[in-house]
Formats: sequence, structure tokens, C-alpha cells
Amino acid sequence: MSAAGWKNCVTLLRLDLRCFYPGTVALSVLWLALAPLLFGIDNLDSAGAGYVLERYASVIGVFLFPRVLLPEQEENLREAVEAKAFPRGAVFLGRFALSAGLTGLLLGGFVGVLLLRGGSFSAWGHLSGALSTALALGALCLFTLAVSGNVVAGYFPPLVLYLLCLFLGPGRLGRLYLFGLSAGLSGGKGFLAAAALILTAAALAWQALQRKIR
Amino acid sequence: MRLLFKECRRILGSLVYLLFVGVLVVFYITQFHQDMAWDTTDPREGFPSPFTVPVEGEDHGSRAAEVPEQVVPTAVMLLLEEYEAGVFAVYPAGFAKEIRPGQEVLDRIAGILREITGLSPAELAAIRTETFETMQAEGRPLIFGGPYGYPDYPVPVLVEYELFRRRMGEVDALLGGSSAYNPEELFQYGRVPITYEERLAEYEDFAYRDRVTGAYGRLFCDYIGIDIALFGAFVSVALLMSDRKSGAMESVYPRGKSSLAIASARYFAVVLMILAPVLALSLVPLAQLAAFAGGLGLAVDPLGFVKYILWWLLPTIMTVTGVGFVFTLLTDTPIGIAVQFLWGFLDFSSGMLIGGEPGFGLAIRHNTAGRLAAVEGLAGAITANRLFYTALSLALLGISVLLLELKRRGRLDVRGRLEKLRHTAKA
Repeated sequence: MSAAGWKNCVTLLRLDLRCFYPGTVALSVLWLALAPLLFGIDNLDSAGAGYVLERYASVIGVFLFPRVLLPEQEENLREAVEAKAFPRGAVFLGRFALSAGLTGLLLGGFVGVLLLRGGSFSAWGHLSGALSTALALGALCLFTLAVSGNVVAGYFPPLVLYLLCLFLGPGRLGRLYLFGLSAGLSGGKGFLAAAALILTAAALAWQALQRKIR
Repeated sequence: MRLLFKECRRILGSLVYLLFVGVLVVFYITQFHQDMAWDTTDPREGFPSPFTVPVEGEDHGSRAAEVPEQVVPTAVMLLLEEYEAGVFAVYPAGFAKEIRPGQEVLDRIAGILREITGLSPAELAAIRTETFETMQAEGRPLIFGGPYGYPDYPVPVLVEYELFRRRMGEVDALLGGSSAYNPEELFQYGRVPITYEERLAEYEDFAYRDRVTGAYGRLFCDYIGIDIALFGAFVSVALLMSDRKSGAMESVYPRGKSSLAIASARYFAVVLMILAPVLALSLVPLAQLAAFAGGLGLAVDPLGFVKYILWWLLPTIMTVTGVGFVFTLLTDTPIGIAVQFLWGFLDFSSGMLIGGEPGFGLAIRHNTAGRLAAVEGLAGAITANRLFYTALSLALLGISVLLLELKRRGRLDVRGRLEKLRHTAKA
């Protein structure tokens, strides 16, 4: 790929960051800011912090990760972008890194707030656990969006999985259980993170295949 | 009508609608069908089937009741426990939220404990320790709450029950409300045995007044109502979002149809298409229950499911559809899904599972096949709640018509921002 192609790629990512991400980040911040109204966030122990992080804060993954493929869902925008030469895989990976970084930053900030409010838990363990859950929810959304090409359908599977975790518990969902931290379960987060990365790779591969067919 | 059926056909062919119906079926099988199977073919120990005819002299279980002799010691000990920790649980939106009140409030709570019992917190703690030690010595498990009841703490009570209730109300107010000391919730700290007469009356309500399917119709609406409150907005959001891809808006806008006709046709198409699988699904338990009850010599009410679906579920369906319409027309984004999911989630997480005042609850909860008397006692409140949501949904439809009209006149263009971006990308 030429230097001009890489330049286009960087320009596109900057455009994404400036134009598409602010709204999603604002929604995520609003979501996190509502947490104190719905949950207790003071003096949380390990299970209490896990509860708020996994069942509430990690939902921002569903907002942020679909951004990887959302711009191209706009037909006119896709046509305009596809007319230019640049490494598309790099753009998707760049957006994925942006989404993951922003999710990590926001969840990290939220963990910081919990600690400042008297929380007593492992900051890194809980942050990585919440990030795994957010990543799993986001990747499931991303994969469905890639395969179906339908933004709304993309939100269905992660929310269904979330509810199944609430209703059925860890016994029936095994390693797919999203709320291991609050249930005091060790392990499982690595599996979630790995499954999320595989789903993301599959989503990007599917997109590449679709482009070739077009 | 042609537009309505055209929209129904579009919805029927959409992936999101098929996913919604799939989730509906999964909820039905894992929740309602499971409960019905327990009652009809595989009764669980401790959970008598409503089909079981009560026999005099048998144990019929227990129920919560505001028995002052039980309520006062239990509430005092719960208050003592939270006072000692300095942390009090409140449930403002259904979730536990911890409150750490200042010293002034803690001192007042200690004063209330002393006023009720004449003892200091330390003396009350000693009584608790003795009670636990006695229970352990007797081999009784230290499991409290619900059907297990609470220990018989030998706590002296120096005040009349009415004053005790007022003091609990004061504690609740000091904690900001929604605490375990709300006087209306104190009944859960007492239990009385269910008598043969009560159990028989319950059975007769189930068998002859509800005619079996009325009771299961409520349970069906309880489970399916959650599903609709959480996922119903997907269908309307998907329909409006698909307009952009298919160009339906562009093809419809210039024609002579009014915004009222277009928005109403789409709105009622979504409502009908959500209602249709719910009604179809209810035919399965109706047939199963008719066969099972017939074997026991009981007649079922063929309208048992339909009447509760129309009374309890239809206003919920109309409201979630309205939420999806307003947010999608306003923003051209699927944010209505997040809004409705959060609302639905908070709604089902709060409130009582059975026999609670519906208040402003979006989905009516009644998680049992029985308790007709509780529903009859709340019939006025439930009807008021349903009328409120029907009115709200029509208001949301009105707002949708207005938003659509503004869009057609080019005075509402959230997508204009995206147009700008497109030009930037081209540049």
C-alpha cells in the first residue's frame, strides 16, 4: 500500500474520532454517570464493585465496539470512502483499538471513582474483568452487525446473552457467564476475552469477504 | 388499511422481527413453560401445584403477615445490624444502594432502638448473640427471611405497635426512603400458617373463578411482559431505521398521504405484529391446560389468556413501540433501544413479584398461577396504570406524527450532520 493510502487511512481514523466517536463517548459517559442513582457506589468490596462494573458499566462495550463497522453502514459514506485507496483492514483494526482504548479509559475512570469512594478491591483485576465483559458484549454486537448488515439486529445477541446471564446464572452458562467477578468465580474472563477477539477477527474477515464479493 | 398491511408485511420479513419472535419463544420455554410443567407434571417439593385439592389437617405452608409480636423484634434486630455497620441498604430503583448516614442520624437511630426496647445497641447485640448460640445448640440452621421466617429474639417491647410503625417510618425518612423500614413493607417480617380454609378458597378461585387459564394467563403476561418491555422497541426501531436503507421514506414522503396516516399505519403495524406472536404463543398453553384440566374434571376459560394479554400487555406493547418511534424519528439512531432496555431493566428489577401496587410500573408483575384475590384487590390500581400507559402511548404517537411532519417539511434533519461529514470525506 502506498504512502498516500496510509495517509488516507490516518485521515479517516481522525475523522472517525472527531465526528463519530464523540456522540458514543458522550452516551457512555452519561451511562456511567447514572450509576450512582441506580446502584450504591460507596465503600464497595470486591463482589459489590464487580456487581456494578459487570452488570452496568461494562454495557458501554455495546455502545463503543459497533463503531468499528458503523460508518460503512451509511451507503453514501461507504461509497465515498470506498472510492479512495487505503488499507481497509488497518482502518478496522485502528477503529477497534480506538474503541477498546476508549472503553478501557472510561472503565478505568469509573474504577478510579469507585476506589475514591472508599472501594476496597483489586483495581487491575476488576478493570480487566469488566473490560473482558465489555469486550465480549461489544464483539458479539460487532459480529452480528458484520454478518447481518443490520445495526439494530446487532444489539440483539449481546442483550439476550446479558439477560440469560441474569436469569440462568453461571451453572447453566459455564464460561459464557458474564458476571464472574460479582459471583466470586475465578477464571472465565480469559475465555471471554479470547472469544471476543475471535469474534472480532471473524467479523472483520466477513467484511473483507463481503467487499471481495461486491 | 393497505398501508397498514404493507407495513405488516415489511415487518414480517425483517431479521430483527424474527429475532424478537425467537426471544419470545425462548422466554416462553425457559420461564413460563417450565413453571407450568412443574405444576402439571412434575410438582416441586415445597411448591404445591395449584391443581392440588387441599386436604384438611395437612400443612399448607405459610404466608407473610404483619404480626406485631414477630415484626417488632425482627425489624429491631435488622436495624441494629445496619446501625452497627453504619451502612444501610435502600432500594430506590430496585437495586440495593448503600447509604452511610452521618453521626446525627446514627444517634437518632440508637435513640429509637432505646425508645422501643429500653436497651442500648450493645445490650441488644448480646441478646442476638445468645439467640444464635441457642439456635446452633439446637441444630437449627441460621437461614432467615421469606418462608424460613426469622428467629424469635427475646426483645423487650416498651411501645405500642402504632408508635413503633411511626418510628420505623421516621427511620425510613432519615435514610431517604425505600429502606427495609418502610412501614408498608414491615409485614414481610412476620409469617402465619396458611389455614385449610384459606387454601381451599385459593383452590376454588383457581379452579372455578379463574377457570385455570385465567390464573396462567396472568403468569404468562408476567413473563412475556418482561420480554416486551426489554425487546419490544427493537421492532419499531428496526422498521424506521430500515426506511433509510430501503428508501421507503423518500418514496412515501412526496405522496399525498398525511403524516398522521403514515405514522399511524406504521405504529399500529408494529403493535399488531408484536401482539400477533404473543396471542399465537398463548394458544399452546391454552390447549395444554384444557387437556390437563379436562382430565381432572375442570373446565377452562377459553378467553383466560386473551383477556389478560389485552388488559396487561397491550398498553406495554403500545408504549415501547411509541418510545422506539419517538427516539428514532428524533435522532435517526437506534438510541431508543438503549433507552427502552434501560427502562425495561429498571422496571422488572423493582417492584414486588406478586401482589404489589403497580404504581407506574411498565409491566404488571404477578409471578404466580394463583392469588386471584390479590389481583382483584388491585384491579382499580392496575386499570389506572394501564390507562396511564395507553394515554402515554397515544401521546408518543402524537409526538411521532409531529416529528414526521417536521421531517417531511425539512425542518428536522439530524442527518444533515452526516451529509456534512460525507462532503468532508469526499474532500
